[in-house]
Amino acid sequence: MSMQHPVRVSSLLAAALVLAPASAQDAITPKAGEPFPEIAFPTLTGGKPVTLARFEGKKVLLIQFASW
Amino acid sequence: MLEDLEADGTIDDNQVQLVGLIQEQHPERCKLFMKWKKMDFPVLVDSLNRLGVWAVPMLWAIDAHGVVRNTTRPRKDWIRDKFLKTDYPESSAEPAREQRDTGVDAFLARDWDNAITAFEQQTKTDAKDAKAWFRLGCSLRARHDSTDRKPDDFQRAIEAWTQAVRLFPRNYIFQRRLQQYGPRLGKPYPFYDWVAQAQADLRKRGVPVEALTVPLEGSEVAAPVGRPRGAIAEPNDAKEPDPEGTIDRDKDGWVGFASVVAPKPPAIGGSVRAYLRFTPNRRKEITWDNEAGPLRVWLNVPDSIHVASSLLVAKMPEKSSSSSEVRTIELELELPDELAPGKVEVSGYALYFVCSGKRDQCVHLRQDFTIAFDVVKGRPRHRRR
Repeated sequence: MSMQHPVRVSSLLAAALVLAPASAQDAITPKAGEPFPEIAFPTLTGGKPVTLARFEGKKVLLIQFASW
Repeated sequence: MLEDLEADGTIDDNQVQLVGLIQEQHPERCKLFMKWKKMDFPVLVDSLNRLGVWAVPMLWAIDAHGVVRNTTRPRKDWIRDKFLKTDYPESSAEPAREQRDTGVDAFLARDWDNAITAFEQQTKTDAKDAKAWFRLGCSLRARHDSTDRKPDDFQRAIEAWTQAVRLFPRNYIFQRRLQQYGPRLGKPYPFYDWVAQAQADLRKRGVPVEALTVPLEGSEVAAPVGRPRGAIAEPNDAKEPDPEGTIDRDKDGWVGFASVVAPKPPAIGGSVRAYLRFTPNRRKEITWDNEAGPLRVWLNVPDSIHVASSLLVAKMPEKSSSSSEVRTIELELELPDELAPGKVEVSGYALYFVCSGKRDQCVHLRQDFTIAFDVVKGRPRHRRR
């Protein structure tokens, strides 16, 4: 598997990453110590929506990024 | 960080699965990006921000039983020395489940009409529901990009996103969606200026490149103010092309006109980007007469408002004597601090050379228009320097 980090991830990491106070977060927002929410997302390749349960049994690094 | 983790062998296929998650309005652009950068990990799409996050990027370390293990953005040494080496116990906790939302269901089914109806209802039920406003904007823009487009979809999308940002200004997902189409003064970076390079590089590599189904708006590639690239309109001393109004008016609707301003409403002291769209009438078989000259726009801007140039010229396709594409002119207006709240009107006119049918009639026409919007007090998101 070949990986290169997205072009602007480093600059975005340096930008103001505002962590929401717990009281303001959605109930569905992932929280440490809790199972990742069960949400079926469409895939970029257009396949059937999947949840992260698809990867159960393996550790996952889920990176939320943007191509801009 | 991910590059380092791969380079030193921390991450490999056996240890961990890398999964991407994007919130972009147009996921196909990320597909192009992945191809260009030779990234081949699975990517999930969350255009409506169903995960409820505030910022991007984020990284979650999830153990083999599906439990999130990091409290903040994880450091590389934590991933390598703690996360990957720990055998986490199973958890009996149930994962949070998304509440059923008819708007989300409709959006995922690409049923834009019903998605819009559902999110409109949500904003009526709770006018302070920023998430509903954001999703309404996404749905309107999606319909604008489809064959079911309605004339005011893009403007309504801007208004909905403006409202979302007003209600929840610290949400960077909401902000970026609006900035993508907004004035250069409010942009953190050019967003999609890499697309042309990506397509060129892929072609050089012999990789097939499909055209984007949703073309880029000028705002999506324009550089923020302060960097010299990508001027919208060069300042000039251009003379008004038809001061006496001698050119025939387009009384028969040969070319349709629509304007969109972003944000809407803009704040006093900030700036606003205006899109002027000109669409040849298909029923009348109208085409642009490229041999005769380009589409030009003249603006009569109030003295208090600044614009880089009053005369703007739309791009024409190369090597084509006639064409029928929609032509868009984008411009930015700077709103002074002294402006009073209320309605602002910028009048102007477009001049164009068009032909009807099989070139049995080609004419030079003028269409007058007014760009109108309210300006409000408040902290401008796009402040002049």
